[in-house]
Amino acid sequence: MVAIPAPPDRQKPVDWLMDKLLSGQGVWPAVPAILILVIVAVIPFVMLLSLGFSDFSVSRGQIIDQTFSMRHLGNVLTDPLYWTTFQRSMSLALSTTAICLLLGYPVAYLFLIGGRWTRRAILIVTIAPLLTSGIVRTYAWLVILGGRGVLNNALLGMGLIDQPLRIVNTHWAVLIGMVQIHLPVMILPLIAVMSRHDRSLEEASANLGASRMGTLRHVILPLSAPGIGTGAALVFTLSYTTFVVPQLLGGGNYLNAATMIYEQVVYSLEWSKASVMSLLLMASCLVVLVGIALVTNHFTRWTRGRQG
Amino acid sequence: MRLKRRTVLGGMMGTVALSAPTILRAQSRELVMIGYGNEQDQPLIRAGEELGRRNPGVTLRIIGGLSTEALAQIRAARGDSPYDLAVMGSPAIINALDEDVLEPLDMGMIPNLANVDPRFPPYGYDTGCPISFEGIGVAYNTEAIDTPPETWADLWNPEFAGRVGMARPQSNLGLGVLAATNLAFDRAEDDMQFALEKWMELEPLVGRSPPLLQQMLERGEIDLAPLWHVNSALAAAAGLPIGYVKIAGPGPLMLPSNIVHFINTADGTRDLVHEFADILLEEESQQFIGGAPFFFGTVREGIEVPEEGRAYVPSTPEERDSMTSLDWPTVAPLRGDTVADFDRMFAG
Repeated sequence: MVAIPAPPDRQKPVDWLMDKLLSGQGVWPAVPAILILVIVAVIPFVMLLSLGFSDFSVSRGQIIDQTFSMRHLGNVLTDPLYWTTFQRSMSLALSTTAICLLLGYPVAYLFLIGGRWTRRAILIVTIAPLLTSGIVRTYAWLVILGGRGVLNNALLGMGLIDQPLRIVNTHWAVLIGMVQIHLPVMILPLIAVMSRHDRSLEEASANLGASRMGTLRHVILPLSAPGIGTGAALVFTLSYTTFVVPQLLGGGNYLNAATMIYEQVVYSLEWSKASVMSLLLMASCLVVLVGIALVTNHFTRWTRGRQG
Repeated sequence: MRLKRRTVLGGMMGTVALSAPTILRAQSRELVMIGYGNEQDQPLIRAGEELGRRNPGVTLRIIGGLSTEALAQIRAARGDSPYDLAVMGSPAIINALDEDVLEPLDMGMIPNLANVDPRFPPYGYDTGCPISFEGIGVAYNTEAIDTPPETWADLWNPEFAGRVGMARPQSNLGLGVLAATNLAFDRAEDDMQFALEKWMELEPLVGRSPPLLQQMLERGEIDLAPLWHVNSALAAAAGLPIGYVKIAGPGPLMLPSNIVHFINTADGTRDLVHEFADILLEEESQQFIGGAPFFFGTVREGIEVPEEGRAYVPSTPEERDSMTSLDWPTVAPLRGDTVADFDRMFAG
């Protein structure tokens, strides 16, 4: 009796797709996420950006008669209001990043050298604020810094001031709020990178006669460069594009790029200007991020060379 | 963990089962409305319940937000409105008509409109049905101000310098106050540059929106500010030391609130929107609208202002006669340019 070979399995397209998606190989497992990202983020963003380079009219809620135009870009680039606004956003984001680094690095260093309980305390104090909404934390600053707030009441009670200080609705209130809200975003990458350090390098540095400051400067700081870069990039991006903190703490005459874009989209319905501003915001943010990446890469390469 | 097809399909079925109530709810006749997002929604909720009693299966869902936000959302949705109706101030109607996103109401389908004071329907611009009005006056801290201003021009008295707040002109309140400032100083209502310069003289603290301006007053950052009478009444009802004056010259100023119907809504919605507006104009509804704690101004003739609401709503014949509004078709289209000029002067 001759055995008849079984016909080869013809896999259905659905089975083939499921196998690919669940195989965990190559880019396939990421395809659903990429598809969703393209549909809900990339396509709307491209559509929004297209409005910045076109004149259009609206009928029955729909945009019609869209024609290419560079007019809006020209208007924004020649209007001093936009330059002032971007300058304010940039200086606010850079100063927030610098202050977060100055305040965050010692905390991360304490985490590195501290005992078990110190480490736990630092983690709890750093992560706990992230469990509450940014809006709640910003409102907490209104309670602290307001005219009848905790700070003013304390200063008045101590007789240090005669009248409440005006802190809310100023640039300083925005800066204070930004630093507090974004500080954990700086500390966590620093802790993540510094925890991986080989502690024997510090011992070697001490054995070779380096002081504690010398070890910090020549060993720990260079090794933590990737953490500084990551933290700075995250804090800068969040601060540069932030919306809630200036909205609540800056008052109605404090304007940064994000609040301006929001108002142009929602209140003034000036979508072309908002679109151009979004593009400029993204481009300028990218320039700074590339700068941070280059600097970080420079120091990381140097560190890698030493390690090698 | 190794994922199997059965696991994935099970997860998908679970998701469908969890979302089923939402999907089913969306299939019922639910009207979605832009409201105030606070206690001021109570008259709308009450009228929605009555609409549901008269039309079994019909429900009203009120979403808090500004009507201008709705216009942006409708444009983003390419005309497919996520809302069926809204309560909209007259200037927002002008902006919505520019966007062409409103379906004019058929006033003949709202029988109770016959009982409305004839001065209000024109502010619906043949599109919306007036249901109430809000006054623009000055709210003040009663612990800090002994003699509040009586006219708009009084705000420029030296005693109030550095103590006044204002709302950004993106809001109807902010825009209306600028137009009123022009009238107070004998200028054309649309001379926004003049009004902004006058306000610059006061060096005001600026609230990004009327609710945020009210919070600044409550926190003691300012002592007085132009505000809606309803916001002032609610703050006073909450026990805050906030008083309110119905400012004259021009005024008392009022802004009618209207029910409007958006384009591209589901079949059958149109009749319900008209019925909803009619319910809001019934005598009982109007008495509720005009009562504590919000004391909305009522548009139906013959509704008495309650005793405790007389500090907020024009009640005497003289006050009612001098009550006026603004030329919104002229002022409202200036919103975008005025906001830009405001930022150049105040935030530049």
